[in-house]
Amino acid sequence: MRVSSIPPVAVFLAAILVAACGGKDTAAPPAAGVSVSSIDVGRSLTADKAIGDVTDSFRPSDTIYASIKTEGAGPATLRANWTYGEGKKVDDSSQTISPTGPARTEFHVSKPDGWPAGRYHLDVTLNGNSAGTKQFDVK
Amino acid sequence: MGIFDKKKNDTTDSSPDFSNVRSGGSSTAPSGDQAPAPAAPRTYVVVSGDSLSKIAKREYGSADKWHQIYEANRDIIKNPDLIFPGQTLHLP
Repeated sequence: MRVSSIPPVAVFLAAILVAACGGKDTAAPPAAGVSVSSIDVGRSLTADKAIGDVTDSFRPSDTIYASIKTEGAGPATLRANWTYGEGKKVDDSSQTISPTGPARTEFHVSKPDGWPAGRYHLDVTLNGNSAGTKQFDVK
Repeated sequence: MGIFDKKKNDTTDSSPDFSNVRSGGSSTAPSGDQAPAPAAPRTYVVVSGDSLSKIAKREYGSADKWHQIYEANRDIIKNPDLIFPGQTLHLP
């Protein structure tokens, strides 16, 4: 049986190189300007505009909050489009912000006579481009 | 009558009504709708060979606007035909 003439040290170094170059995906470098890093929905809001209790299940009487975390600086327009069922419009609103760093922007909706039970969708766009979606239920 | 007609013709009668939804929002980031900060006052330091009309032509594109510079600097310009190198003029 022939024994490999490659020194063990070279095999070790090659393994490190392969590990460094492949495997787990790395996040793309952030584009210039503002980008959305997370979207949460829940029933309450903290002082820093984060969601106090993240959930995807609401009661008819709830005010529904969405908190959008952004990174980067510069002018940006965030739009929250809330729909019900197969696309019935619930609300559509936007905010133009000029963050200088990480920021949170919240949108909220309420319905005095209660939300109809069913599935709802929240589509968030940043400068007209889709930045993420969330779906939740009212029971 | 009107309500009855509306209901009669409404093919989405069972569809939920979201017309009374209230919405709002806020952000930890400054609003992009805020007016930009006012520009800092502009000044110009007179150099040899300058005249108010030359400065007006250079700064505003029209020599005829020399009197605007003169009016904005009446406290330091006594004679519009006499300005001196080193004088700092306010540009309105």
